[in-house]
Amino acid sequence: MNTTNEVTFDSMTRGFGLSTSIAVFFNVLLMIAKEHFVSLKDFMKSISFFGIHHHWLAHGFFLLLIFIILGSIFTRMDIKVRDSFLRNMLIASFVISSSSIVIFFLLEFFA
Amino acid sequence: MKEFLLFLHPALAVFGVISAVWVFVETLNVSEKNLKRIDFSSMLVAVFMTLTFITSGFWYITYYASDKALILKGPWAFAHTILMESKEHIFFGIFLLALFLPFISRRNNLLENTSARSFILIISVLIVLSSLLLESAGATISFAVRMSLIGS
Repeated sequence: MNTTNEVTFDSMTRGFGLSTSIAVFFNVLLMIAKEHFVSLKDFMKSISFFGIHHHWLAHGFFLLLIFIILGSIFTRMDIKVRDSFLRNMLIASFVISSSSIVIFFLLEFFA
Repeated sequence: MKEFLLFLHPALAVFGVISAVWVFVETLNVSEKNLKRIDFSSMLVAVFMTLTFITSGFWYITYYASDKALILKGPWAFAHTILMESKEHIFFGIFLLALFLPFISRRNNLLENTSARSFILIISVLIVLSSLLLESAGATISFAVRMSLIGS
């Protein structure tokens, strides 16, 4: 048995859990930046993936890179993050970022 | 091809949702016997959401522009401006959660670790609920095209 105030997850779960939270938060930041700075959106459009140019594709691959790279780094660093902290951080990042996305486009629509 | 992909990507997402429900139920009833099934079903969630990313991305990039133009001219313009724009970005969050799920099921002893079990339950619930919301947004977007075509 264990309590949520302990560190019981293995290093890879902790590492990739943190990277998932960061990538999910970064998703909304990148989206807002992309909508406000045309040059950033144009840059993302200019990146080619298998010969396809699209900002959404670049956005997705960028988040995937954050997930993989940060996850690998955090796993190697073996960060001792408590179970409850990791769980709450992931829930908060997902709920806050998803609702922020909807609120952002609602505001854009009614502006 | 367009219609095939239009129906394929939400179908794959539904398979991802069903797999997440499967993960949830197996984790609630965890025992020595079903550990491999938890592993397998959590991998299935990641695989189906990856396939959804590929097929929906291909459809969105290749075919959506004409639908978008129609929707924006029609009475349900919000379907693109609010729903589609939100949907295409919220999906990334679900995709990342789906990729992370197998890390918990494969790397932790679920029989003893209650934290890992509750983490799996929470993530599968988040995946199921948010995916269902995106599915309904997708249905509304399809209907918005129809509304534009009938011009009412």
